[in-house]
Amino acid sequence: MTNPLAGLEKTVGKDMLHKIQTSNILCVGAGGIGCELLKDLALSGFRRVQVIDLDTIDVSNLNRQLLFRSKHVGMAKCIVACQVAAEMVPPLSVNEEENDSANGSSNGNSSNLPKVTYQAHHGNVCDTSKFNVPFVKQFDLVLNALDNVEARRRVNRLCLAANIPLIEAGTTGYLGQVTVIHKGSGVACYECKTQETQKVYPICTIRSTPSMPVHTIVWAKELYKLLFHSKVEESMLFEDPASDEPSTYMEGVFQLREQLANSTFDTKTSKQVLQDLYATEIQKQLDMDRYKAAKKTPTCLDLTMLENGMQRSAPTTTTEIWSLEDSVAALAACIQQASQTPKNELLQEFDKDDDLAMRFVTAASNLRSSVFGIEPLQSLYSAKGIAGNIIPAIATTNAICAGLQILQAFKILKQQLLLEQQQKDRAELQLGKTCLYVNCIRNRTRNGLYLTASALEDPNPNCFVCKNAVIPLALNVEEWTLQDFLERIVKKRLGFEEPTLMLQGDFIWEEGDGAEDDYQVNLPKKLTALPCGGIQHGTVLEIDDNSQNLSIQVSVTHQDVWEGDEVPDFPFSVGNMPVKKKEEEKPTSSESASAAAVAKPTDDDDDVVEIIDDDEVTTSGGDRKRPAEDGGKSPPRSKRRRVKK
Amino acid sequence: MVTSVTNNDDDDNVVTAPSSSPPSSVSEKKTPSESEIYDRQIRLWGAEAQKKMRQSKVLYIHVTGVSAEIIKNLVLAGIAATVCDPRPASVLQDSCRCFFTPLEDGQPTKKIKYDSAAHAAQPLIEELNPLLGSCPLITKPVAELTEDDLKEFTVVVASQIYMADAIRLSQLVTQQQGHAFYVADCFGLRGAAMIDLGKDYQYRPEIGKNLGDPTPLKDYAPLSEMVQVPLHRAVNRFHKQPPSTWIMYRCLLEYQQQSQVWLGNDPTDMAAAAKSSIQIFLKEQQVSLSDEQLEDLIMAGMAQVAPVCAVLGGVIGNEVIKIITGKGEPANNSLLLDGDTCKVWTFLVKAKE
Repeated sequence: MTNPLAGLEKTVGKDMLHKIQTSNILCVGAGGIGCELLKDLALSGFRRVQVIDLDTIDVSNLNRQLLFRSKHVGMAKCIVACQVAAEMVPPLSVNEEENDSANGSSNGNSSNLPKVTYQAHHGNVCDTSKFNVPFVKQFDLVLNALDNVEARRRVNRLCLAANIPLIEAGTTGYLGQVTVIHKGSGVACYECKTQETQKVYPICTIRSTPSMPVHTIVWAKELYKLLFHSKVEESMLFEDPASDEPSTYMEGVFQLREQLANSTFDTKTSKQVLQDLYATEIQKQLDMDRYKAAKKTPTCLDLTMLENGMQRSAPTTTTEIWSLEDSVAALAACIQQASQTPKNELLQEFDKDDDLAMRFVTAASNLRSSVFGIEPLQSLYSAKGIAGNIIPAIATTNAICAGLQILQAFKILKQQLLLEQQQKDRAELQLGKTCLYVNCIRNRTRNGLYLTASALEDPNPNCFVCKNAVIPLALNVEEWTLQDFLERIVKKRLGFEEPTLMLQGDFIWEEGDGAEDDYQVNLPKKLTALPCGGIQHGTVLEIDDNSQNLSIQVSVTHQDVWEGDEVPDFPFSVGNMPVKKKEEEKPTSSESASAAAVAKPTDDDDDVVEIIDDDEVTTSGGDRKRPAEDGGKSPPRSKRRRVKK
Repeated sequence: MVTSVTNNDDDDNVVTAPSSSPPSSVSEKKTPSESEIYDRQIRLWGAEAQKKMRQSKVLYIHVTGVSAEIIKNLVLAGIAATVCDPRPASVLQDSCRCFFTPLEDGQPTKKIKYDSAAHAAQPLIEELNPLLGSCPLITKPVAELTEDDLKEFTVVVASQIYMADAIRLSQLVTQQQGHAFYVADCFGLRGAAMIDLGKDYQYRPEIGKNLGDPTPLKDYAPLSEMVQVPLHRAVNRFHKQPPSTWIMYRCLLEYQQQSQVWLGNDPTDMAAAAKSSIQIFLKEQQVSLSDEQLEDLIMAGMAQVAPVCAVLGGVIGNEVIKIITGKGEPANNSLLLDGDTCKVWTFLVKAKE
């Protein structure tokens, strides 16, 4: 009988098929691209595959993630994907399969081929205890199918450190791209281009001077927390009632929270809060001439309209834009509903997939947009796209990119096979002339191309990851503490997991397994006051991370005066969150920007707030318009808020 | 671990496909709505386009590696499929290996005798997207399909069909304005598609996020004419030489026509005869292939290689969505894929007037 892999064998040759069947592949992500990759791997006869993914299957995955059905919703992606894909691996021959079934074993290895093993790792690829350099070294190559920058950076570094080829891909809607990263081949790595990690909005934009729908949506998410979070201070809109001049809405907010807690809810209170939020507080700000210089002056919400809205029943449409009265009605209904929801069932923070939270945010943001004259108002459907930062994703683009990744994998395995046949060391692998950077585009080029391929790029000589470039960093060394520096720069921006800091050859900080506690005393110290001479203007600091085999040098410049609200350009010249100069801000992002994050570069009281939504976060960036992602979800983004006073 | 799967065969009427059932949780889940399932794509092409997709039907003639990919992409996206594949069910297991493989993999499933490849693929297609309901079959031979059989389909996608059938069907399908006919095939690391959009085809170009006014297709050459264009004249300003992928595809079609069997599906001892007949054809057409290309072509024949099928299937999936939604300029009148250089391009095959 026929061998189901005969066609592939005739196409690539017997030795190459054997290489495919015996190679060991890691696939990071089992989402949109991951499902396609696993299907292609299985149908191509790959027998040893491991998959990492931490996500579970959602209804909105079913339009493209072919390995999943509605009965799988809620189950771990990697586990279902491995089970389904493993069954797609063709038996060695139809005859043999029958024999195997008779013997009770499937895909037996009568020809010394490894057993079909598709192994699922339900976890976060950023977990260095499991997924580290030795782990990666066991594979012939790694396929990325991720949806966020953080995980991509991590896999990039692990593969560079292990010198294992990494085939990277990303898709956004109709657009996609595939490239190959490999230390030994001297080609660009993922971090040779600046990756846009988070859309960041200054706090005062959100609190006082919104100018785009996304600003009011972020505000509405914070309002949700202000009303419903068990810790009111978790909300960016929170103000201490004991402070000098708390915003007028705080009193009503506390009253409402108390009523919600004691089940003594009264609609009058929600009306009062709405009035304070959308009229009284605005009027107060106007009276303080706060908007004298603004392009648009806000107008208080009409109180008659508010009154009317309170009498209406809540709107039901999700695709039409609610009138202002409807929005008032919707907001009032949400608070009413929240008052009747058992506390353990009411979400403390916004979630785009929670109906109550989504109606709340739609209504609250539209009312605020109308106060500030911001257009367009949003339907619930479109507000969900912005609030949840939803990236469109379709089966076709994912299929194309995954197919291209496997074609690249064939090229790499072929090169590895040649090295084996010539009995050469696999470290001699050179992919620069073999693999390609491929773009998938919507409208054909002038000469008709829908997929364009070009040579892999050269590394950026200033890349601190693959070229060990020194990172210039400007900051106020007199104000920053070691703790700030570690968290905000070393971990968040440079992507270190377990950093060790050294000054002139001596440790000033280490962490991770077996790290000594002695250095804890350094955490609250100002940079200049650290041992070994401290970090001063002109200091060169060495930072290592054994978990990623990464060692870098940072050249520090002291700077205490900053031009306006200049957003620092990272990573190659880092200015960062200056202590203060002037509070003023302008929108930092385009219309389509996500509401994923808020940060505040400057503020009087030196509050630093980073709110990082753990939803599908935009992670595109780079000059090549790197499309974002439709891969498996990897690490959950932490929700962090730090206030130091 | 070797994944194992328990199949739930309690219900005699349900064919449990091997790829279907990791043990599912018992808890009741609400049936997801269309807008939830299609959310990520509606955000791309809009509710209006999705509605058109729901109202359209696509007929697939023959399930092959590449057409299985197209079916998967479009059925998941919400476009209902009808299948015509009277070939024996075994074609899904061997030469046309694809993920619609219901009969094997060492599963303890009951072996079911299917009447045809279409019957075998049907339950798997239905399982891909339960919102679309049943997947109708057309059981008559391809050569007997009539205009009546075809008129309800906005798009017909054929694969591994005889050239004479392709020509006849293209004419029947495109008699209705706006209906399109595709023939898509993968062979080894390459793939090709012939596209007939009909003579009065109009589309709305995408200008940024907006749609332009209906625009007629610039050049039209029906499929019947495409396959008549001598290969040495299949050139344009960007391709001074006829694309080798197109030459190879024509060789495969020609060989099938002469020998009544697809190259690669024939006995291997026919390779020498195949080579000489292809060489004669190339000479007639005044074109040539390098020795390596010719060897690859003879060797691989119509081999369906999964990633190659995935790439071409994805590109053609996008094209079918363009046709059904009327949004965007469609490829005309061929699509060519070279898996080695990782390029896909469209190329107009038309005799110069």
